[in-house]
Amino acid sequence: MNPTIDYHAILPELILSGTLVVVLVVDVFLRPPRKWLAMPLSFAGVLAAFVATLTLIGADRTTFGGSYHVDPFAVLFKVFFLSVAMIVLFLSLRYFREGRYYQGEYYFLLLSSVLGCVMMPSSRDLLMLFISLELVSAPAFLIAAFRKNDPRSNEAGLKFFLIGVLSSAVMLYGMSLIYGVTGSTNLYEIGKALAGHLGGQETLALAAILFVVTGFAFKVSAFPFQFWAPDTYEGAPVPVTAFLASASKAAGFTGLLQLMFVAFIHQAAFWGPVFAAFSIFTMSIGNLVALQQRQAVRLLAYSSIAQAGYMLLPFALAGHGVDKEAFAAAVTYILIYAIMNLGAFAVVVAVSRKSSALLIADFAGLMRNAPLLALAMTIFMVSLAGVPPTAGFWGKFFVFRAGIDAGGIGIALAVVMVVNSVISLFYYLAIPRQMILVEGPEEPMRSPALVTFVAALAAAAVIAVFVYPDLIAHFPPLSTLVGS
Amino acid sequence: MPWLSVTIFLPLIGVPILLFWRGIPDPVARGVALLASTTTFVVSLGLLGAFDASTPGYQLVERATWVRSIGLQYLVGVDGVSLFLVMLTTLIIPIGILASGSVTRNVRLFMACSLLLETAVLGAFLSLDLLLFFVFFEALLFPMYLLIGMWGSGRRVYAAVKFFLFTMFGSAFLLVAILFLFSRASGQFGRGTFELTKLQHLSLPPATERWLFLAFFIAFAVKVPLVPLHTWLPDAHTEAPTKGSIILAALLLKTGTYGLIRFNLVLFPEASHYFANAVSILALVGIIYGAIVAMMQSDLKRLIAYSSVSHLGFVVLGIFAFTQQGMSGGVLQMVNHGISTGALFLLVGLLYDRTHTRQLDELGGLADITPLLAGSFMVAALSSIGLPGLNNFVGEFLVILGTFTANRAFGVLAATGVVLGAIYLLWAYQRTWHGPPNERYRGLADLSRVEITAVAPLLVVMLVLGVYPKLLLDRINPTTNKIVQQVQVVRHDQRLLARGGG
Amino acid sequence: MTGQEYAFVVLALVGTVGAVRLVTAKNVVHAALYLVVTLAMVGSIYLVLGAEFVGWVQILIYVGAIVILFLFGLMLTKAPIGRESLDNQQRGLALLVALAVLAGLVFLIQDAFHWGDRKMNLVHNTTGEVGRSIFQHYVLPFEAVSFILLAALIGAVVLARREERE
Repeated sequence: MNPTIDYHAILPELILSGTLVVVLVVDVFLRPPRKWLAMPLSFAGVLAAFVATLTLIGADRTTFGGSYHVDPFAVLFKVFFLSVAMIVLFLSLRYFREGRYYQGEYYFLLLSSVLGCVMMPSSRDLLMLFISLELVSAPAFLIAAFRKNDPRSNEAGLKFFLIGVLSSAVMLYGMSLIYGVTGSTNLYEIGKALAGHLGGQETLALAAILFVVTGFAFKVSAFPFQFWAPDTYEGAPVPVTAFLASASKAAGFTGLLQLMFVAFIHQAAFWGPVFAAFSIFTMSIGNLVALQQRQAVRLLAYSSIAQAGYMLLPFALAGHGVDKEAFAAAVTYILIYAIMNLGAFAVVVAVSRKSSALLIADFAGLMRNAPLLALAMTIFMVSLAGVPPTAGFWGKFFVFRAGIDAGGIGIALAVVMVVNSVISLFYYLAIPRQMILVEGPEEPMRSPALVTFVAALAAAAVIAVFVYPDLIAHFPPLSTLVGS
Repeated sequence: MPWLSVTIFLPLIGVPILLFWRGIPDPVARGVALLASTTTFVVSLGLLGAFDASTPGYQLVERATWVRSIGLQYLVGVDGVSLFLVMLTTLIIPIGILASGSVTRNVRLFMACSLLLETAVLGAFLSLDLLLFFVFFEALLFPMYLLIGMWGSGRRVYAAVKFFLFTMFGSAFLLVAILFLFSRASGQFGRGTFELTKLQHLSLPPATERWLFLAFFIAFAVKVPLVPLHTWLPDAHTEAPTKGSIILAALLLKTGTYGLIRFNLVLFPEASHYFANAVSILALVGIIYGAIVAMMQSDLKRLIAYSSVSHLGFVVLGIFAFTQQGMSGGVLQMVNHGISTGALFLLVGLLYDRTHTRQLDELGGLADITPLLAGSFMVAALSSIGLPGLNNFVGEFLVILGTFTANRAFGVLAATGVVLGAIYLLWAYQRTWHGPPNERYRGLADLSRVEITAVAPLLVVMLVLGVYPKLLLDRINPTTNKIVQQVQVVRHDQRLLARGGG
Repeated sequence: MTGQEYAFVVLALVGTVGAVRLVTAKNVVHAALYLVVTLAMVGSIYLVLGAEFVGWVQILIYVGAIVILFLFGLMLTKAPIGRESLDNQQRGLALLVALAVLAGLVFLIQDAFHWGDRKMNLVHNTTGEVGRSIFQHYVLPFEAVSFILLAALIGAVVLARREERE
């Protein structure tokens, strides 16, 4: 028998796959000065995949025997990942063209990673999930090392690779144990099996969950598995860092959301406290270390660790009767975080043309030299800190609300997060302080039009989402992943 | 006409012009800001006319759904407590803009910040939805941060960061408390809401109520500021540009005392009683401590900053006396302090523009050189002291009277604060303006026409309010009366409960 | 014990000895050869368990291809054969971690399945079934894996390529 494949459901993936093969082939025939044409080509492909995804809005399709599911949750994240991909493409053009890196190969690898991201939210099968995650990471290891002449970039790629592989191994081992206990790789089936009486195998199941969680903790850079992130972020090409800190991290979280809220939800009483600890330590360590940073990308790296802590918080609330709310809060936070973080990296890309060291001191006087970028960056920093009138406020708001509604430990976690938010202000303010309050050398800065466009767009989005949070907050609760 | 929304958002009209017209000439930028803020003042006069003095509740209420999914509304309304704070805001901002002639760098950004601030402050005074209030309350921080950090003097960056972090620290807990109320509301009413008048009817266990009271209280106490959370204030005031100091003193501090009345008393009446003595003692400590430290200052601006700590203590004391006189006096004093201290900061700023020093031992003998400036300063200082016939007298008198009926010892201690206030202000006046004429300052210009336009309205208001406070009190009293009754009812209930239980 | 179990014990013992020698051998080429032993034993265990396809694939790919590739790599890159300078001298710690992991896993697995009180039901997976499964339900991951490999290949070429200086 031949199961029919729902080609419409996997159309975005098919388009992306086609595009990345075309990019690779066309690149061979391009003369060096025209290699950059791979970018518009990639962009066209991503745009086509984006449109294809839009046709899937409202769909609820299953294919490949239940292992691949296109539902509102998946579509939301597919749209998100493809948008991020377009933005990263914008940021990459000048950077890679001027740096004379291998452009065709870079776009190919970037798109491969995006393909993995796009597959992730539909994967409802352990095997599928694992392979999507590998498809996200493997090309990312390589493009992190793309600045071949810089030892820091080599270190970035190598560290990322070693830790990524280690975490994959641990996770895979956990997955095999889960299969051993439940006899299925399908997330829904696993959820059903784990809901029943496990007898003597309960301990093993819990340990397996822990292994899987550990694997993901590496991917989302949660404490104590966060130490690779600052070095990797600093060494990798800045557009790649932007991709890692937004899409790649979000992909890790999508996988985690599906696993925890679908497959392992009945064990929430066990892993909830684990996530509470993850969350508290991740945000606190990230924030405290960020305070001492002098380099902009390292600062953003630690900030992204701290932000991961905030995103982990809703997981700790599972099983307290607010699953749906916590789930929606996590998703909303991930989306809002990506917007403001991408915007911040766009400004960093622009500044990196002036000074490749990217010290915070290099931002001095930006308000005069590039007022638009400085204004946008200020908005992003204020937003990352979660102060109105910016989107970041709503991100934190929904997490707080879920925490307080959960009561008990949720309130304690919300208070810890509040304290952390205040601490984070110290370093988030450092960059606006340099840009606005410190006089820098007067030299008008020219930034590539696409990069300025991305920064302006993200800044506008941050304000727009503040004014009308339902732009984003409307979608996560529609997901049928939880509570159905 | 939607008076409130127009008043709140009218200043914003100038902002896009200032932000996006890059080559805007400085005088035009000033003109735009002045026009926007003066129009707002005119509109707020209409608001004053539309206000019905005999009704105690919220008036001119406007309601619209903002974010349906979380029950957040755009809900604004005005009552006797907020009415004159709004008027004060719309009056002070254009005056501050007039007085910022010494700002020459980044004028358009300065003006944009001023207008943003005006909207945020007005929004905070008029919101009847807790989350909406919080949003405005937070939104005013960043423009203020820039105002201090960019155009301040000396250690401006340090002062700006300190200001920002102190206030953020306070308001972070406020957000958690607001969300907690929301969460309880969804439990008790079936539907979460941030609406003040609904949350008032929430029943909370006393322990919870006290925690929430504290969370709200810390946020507002930082703003007021109450000792020991006041340390950001002298730095921020001293380093801020003149306009920044005026806004800080006249408006920003009031968001704290306003919050105490609007939210702490109304939402947590039981806890308010429970903590009343503690808060009153903090307020008294602030009154005396502020006055003594002010006396020891050598920097004129810092001296006035500490006098704010002292004066705001009176406001808090009046509020937590739970008597009608005390509360009306507190509200009146909020307005009065805004005008008197605003005027003092304005005049010190004008003085500094001329002498380039604020050190008392370097000043002196200026009365003959700049008589108009000296005269205005004297009126403002006398008003601040509480001379009968000027505005502060009525407010302070009511506060002391109200406190005295509630607790004699507190009333007596507060009265000593008035005496101390007279000492340090008169002493400062003498050291600045009198004494042998100072050769260094010969030939300094007296107030220019623009500066007179800025100073005169404040002096006139001082006089009018001093002679005819009924203008304000008639509109304030019904509301304060109602609030005091609400709070007293709770105390009565408690007594009954205690008696029934015992 | 059944014959199957005897076979398992022998294979496991040989495999373990190979694994220990693999990490203690001073000569890298020897280590690679010990790797062959270990991997072959793992493959044989799969065979004993009745997973013929996985067993043969294990032997074909790991023993036949990957280890040979290692040996080629060692020879072509003139990597130092013998005790290396890259050794970070953390043997003690590594041993400790390895033993702890072993103890933990042994405890977990025996806690779940208990020694010997469980009869193994061999599911007979033929190569045909595995093939059908891969090309029907799992065709998408299968294709995705091919992209991972392609990406790894391209990336490796880029990173390993000598930069020409113009």
